[in-house]
Amino acid sequence: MPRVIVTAYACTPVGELWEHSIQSLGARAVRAALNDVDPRTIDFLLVGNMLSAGICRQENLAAAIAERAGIAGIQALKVEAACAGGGAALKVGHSLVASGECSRVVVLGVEKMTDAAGSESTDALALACDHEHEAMHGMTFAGIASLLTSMYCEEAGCDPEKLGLASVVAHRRASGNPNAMFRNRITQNDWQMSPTVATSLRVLDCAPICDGAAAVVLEPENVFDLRIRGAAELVAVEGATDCLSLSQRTDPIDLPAARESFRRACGKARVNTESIDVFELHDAFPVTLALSFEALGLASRCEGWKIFEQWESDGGNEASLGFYSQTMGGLKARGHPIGATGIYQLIDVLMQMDGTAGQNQIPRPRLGACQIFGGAAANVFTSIVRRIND
Amino acid sequence: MSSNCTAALLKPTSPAFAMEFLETEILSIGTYVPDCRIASHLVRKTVAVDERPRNKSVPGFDEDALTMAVAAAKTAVSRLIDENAAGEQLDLLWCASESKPYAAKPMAATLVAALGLSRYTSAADLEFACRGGTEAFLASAQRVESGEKRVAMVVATDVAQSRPDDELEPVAGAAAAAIVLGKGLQGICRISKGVSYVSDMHDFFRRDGQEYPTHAGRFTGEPAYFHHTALAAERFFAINSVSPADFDHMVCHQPNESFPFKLAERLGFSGGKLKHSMVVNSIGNVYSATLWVAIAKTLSQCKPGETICCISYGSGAGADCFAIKATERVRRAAGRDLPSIEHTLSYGGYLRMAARRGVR
Repeated sequence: MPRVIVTAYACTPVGELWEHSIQSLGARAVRAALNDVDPRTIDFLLVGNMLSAGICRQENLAAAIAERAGIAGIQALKVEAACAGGGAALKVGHSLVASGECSRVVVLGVEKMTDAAGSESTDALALACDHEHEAMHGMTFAGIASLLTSMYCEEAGCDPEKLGLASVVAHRRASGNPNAMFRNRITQNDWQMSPTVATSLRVLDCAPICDGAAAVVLEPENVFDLRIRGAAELVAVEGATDCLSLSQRTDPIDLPAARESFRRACGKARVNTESIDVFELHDAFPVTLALSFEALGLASRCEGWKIFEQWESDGGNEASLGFYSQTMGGLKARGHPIGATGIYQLIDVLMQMDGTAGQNQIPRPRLGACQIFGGAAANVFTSIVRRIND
Repeated sequence: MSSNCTAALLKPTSPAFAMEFLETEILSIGTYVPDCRIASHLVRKTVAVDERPRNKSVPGFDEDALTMAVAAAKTAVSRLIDENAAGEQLDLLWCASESKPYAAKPMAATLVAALGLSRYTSAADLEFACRGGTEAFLASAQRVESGEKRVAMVVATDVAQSRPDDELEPVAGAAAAAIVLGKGLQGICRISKGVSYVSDMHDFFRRDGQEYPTHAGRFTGEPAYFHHTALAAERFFAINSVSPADFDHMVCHQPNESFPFKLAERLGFSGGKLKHSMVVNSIGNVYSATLWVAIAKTLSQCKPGETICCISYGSGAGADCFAIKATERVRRAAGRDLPSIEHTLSYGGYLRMAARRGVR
């Protein structure tokens, strides 16, 4: 099986992109990623997205974007796994190339959340909850995060205020990322003053409603042109699932799908946790990031929150931790355009490997891991990325 | 790719000239604000940490946009310095509102009758959301300037509508303002020509037969309010060869307490120039009356000769920018007209009032 190489990437800034529709946004990222590549050489377009129907009233999305991007005629498919759509689309793309089926695949993640206002967005996001056990009783995603935060803080014996540090650090990093939605730094006091959304959860704990489109091009090694910038190997993409509803889980503050997806990906890639230099994890809320660290073995149970304190006390220098994480602001501050986020995470890692991360540049990593959750880690995909060029 | 909606400044079609004022002046301003208040935090859904006092005005069970318009108009007439401006001289009356009691029956006609004006008065209603009053003002000023009309009255009045529990509800207030314009009749304020900027938008609208308006959330910010006000103001500055530094005060539409300061910063006004004009924290957003109540408040505190940059905004959407300049008579005929007794309602009282008015 050939190695799968990421030969190009492009993304729009994340933000409230009022003047774009989901079609124009997706097409823009695809065209930018393709650049001067002959569109007739594309075998497949995969589109990671969650809410094209729920908010934009558009299904048949892949065909619509293929047309707008000027590559109508190719095979195209929308991939849905709630917020993990981007990661899931990478899994499908990786499989198509690794199997020899395709020699050039475009994997796009796109989301246009701002076409809805207020409660419409909340209702749409609740589609990722278990409808029968949760959503139909009024549960929202902020509600789930609130429950998890309360349970976590109680067992870990920590104050929700400690979790707020994650947002402070996220904004600090995003201030150096030109593609980030939030370029403003915030203080612990700003966090304290932000309105309460639900118990133990403040506005500044929550990833934003936003728009974005990000695309990568995947090719097998044997047709890879060494001159192409940004080349890295997408070594493995592996997924795992768990119960959708918190009410069905035996231990809500443990994320077995995150742990298993990571284990499978490392197994396929034949790497261990210690060899991974940079992680881009699912920080839609501080509690999901703390639980991610624990699921990946980067912290013990109920100790993940201490990493935020270490970030803060180190002044952002993470060398003492042994790994880097959320280098470009993460879901909280770079932004979380749902189905596109998995691709943004990959691009964050690619930029670090490229040396093009600007103010946020870390020592160029050799290995990176991206992990994205669908819902409350009900469907998780982990990608392992390896730098090729030195 | 940029999410900034501000377009390139349009080239003015007329050559630049120093800011000129019309011969037509504001003769008086009268405002009416209902005497009931409710603290906004009682109406707000989310719990905000910052609990500075914010109130909004609440119309009584027997009040509506028309009753408030009559009250404001009578106050404006009573304030006229030159009696000759009243009575039969007043031959143009326009009323702006987005909460008319009748979808088809003009408030202006009732006002003509209530004020005892001649039946030969030109009268009509206008609507452009919160901007209707300034559009009526700029247009009627020209009818007086041309000599076609002698004295005009413009009334801006609204009972601000919002869906119950909507994010607008904490600031949706009620008030009316009436402005009298004329030439050579001891005016309190000079007026400039205005610049308008209009585009087709759906940031806030109410369909015929729909009880409550639809509000497009964050879309009402950058692409709506800021885009239109900034474009109108920038063109006004360019045409008149003026800049924010040339003005003593700035008054703009106030959908909330933060937008005016952001607009001021964007245009280059210091925040201090808004100091006298903020009304939203005490009476709420009173839609088309907001700008005029704010202008009245500013005039009641400014000195003769001071200039005020006025910027309105109406959803749907459009903005006007114009300048006014206080004369030596300014303090004699403008005031805030706050009721002498304010009744602070509980949330239950607020609901009962609304129920008796027949809403909610």
